[in-house]
Amino acid sequence: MQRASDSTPDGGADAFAADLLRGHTDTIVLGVLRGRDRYGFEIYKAIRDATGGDYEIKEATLYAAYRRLVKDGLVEAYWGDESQGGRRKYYRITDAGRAVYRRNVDAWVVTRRTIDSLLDLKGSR
Amino acid sequence: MDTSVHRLLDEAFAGLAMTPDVQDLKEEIRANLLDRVAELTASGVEPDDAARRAVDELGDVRALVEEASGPTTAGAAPTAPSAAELMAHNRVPRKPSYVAVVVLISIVLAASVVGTVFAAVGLADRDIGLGLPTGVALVAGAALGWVVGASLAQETTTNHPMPAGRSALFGIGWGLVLVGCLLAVVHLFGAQYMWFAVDGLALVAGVVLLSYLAATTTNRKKQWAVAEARRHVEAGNRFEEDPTAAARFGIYTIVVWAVTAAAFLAVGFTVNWLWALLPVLLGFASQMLILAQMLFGADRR
Repeated sequence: MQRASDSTPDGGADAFAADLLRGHTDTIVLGVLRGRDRYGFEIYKAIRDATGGDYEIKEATLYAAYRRLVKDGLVEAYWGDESQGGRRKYYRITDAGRAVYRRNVDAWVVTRRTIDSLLDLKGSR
Repeated sequence: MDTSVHRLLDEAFAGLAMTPDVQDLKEEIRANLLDRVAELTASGVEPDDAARRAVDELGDVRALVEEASGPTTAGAAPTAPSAAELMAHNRVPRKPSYVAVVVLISIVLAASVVGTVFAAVGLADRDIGLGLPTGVALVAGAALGWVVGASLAQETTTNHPMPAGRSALFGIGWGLVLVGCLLAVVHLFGAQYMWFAVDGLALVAGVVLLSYLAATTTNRKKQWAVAEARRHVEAGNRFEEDPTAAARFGIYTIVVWAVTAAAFLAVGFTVNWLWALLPVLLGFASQMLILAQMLFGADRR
């Protein structure tokens, strides 16, 4: 994940946020697929739009994530039946994927709470 | 515009070994690129620039492809863990509370199924009204539904837990099927034939619901279990490697079951039909022995 406009001078805060997001790529993709099956560009766009266009996940990162998710059985891939242009490869979340998604979200909620309280402890505000 | 994307894509993949995997990836990327180019041109970018930008945004294709084909060459672990080790490592113990409640509900289920039949017999003798057997049948349906739903929602050693909503639907489906069947028995004994329409409706609704769920159910197996299953398939398909073994197995099967059928009829007509089950059991045993011998015995050659 990186800033959509690559040339921001102070990358510190952005790099921190981008790193955090990148660590959750798989869960984010699972979340996007929860509603319905989608193909690569739709997933890419859904993530970009959800961040208000501020961040985008590099497509190469996404392709690696799809491969990982398919290998782990969390997502199934199938080809669409478009006749013209390129055929689209759709991804469908499996029940296993839903279970992992839920578990990761729970873990995130707990972690967020922990980090919030830790940072409050150290911060002097 | 199109030609430009296709040419750039070819350039990006130039010099890479075109395994089916890589070809797949290329086609997937092609469709996504075309969409991105369409989006860019719609926002006013020149077609050629759009194609160039879309391909640039892609990132490093080579790294991606190498990652795609890498694990097959580098990922061969020196010592693969045995199935038992994997099992122990991934073991998920049953929750005691779940086991206790399932045992209790199963007792309720068994009692209410038997109770429904008894109540139906009572109904036939005009001892009791329609209410009691109907109520007991509904209890049986609810009990079965609960057991099915709660069991599917459990995480096991090889399966991820099913989401709560879906497992609840499975429970409802099986509950409806059981209630439909039990009520049909009740109404048969009670000679209340017009109620068959309602029973049939419950049964059909249950079957339709279950069919829908079965058609849309996706993989719940955990990754290690899937990998393990794949390994077993590789080890176990001797019949594919040796077609003559498969042909011999087919002939043995026909002989075993022809003899079994003849023995079944002979014993059934001369002695009685209960004893006729004995040849069937023997036939089944011989079939299994032949299967085991042909699949696993050939190693000794």
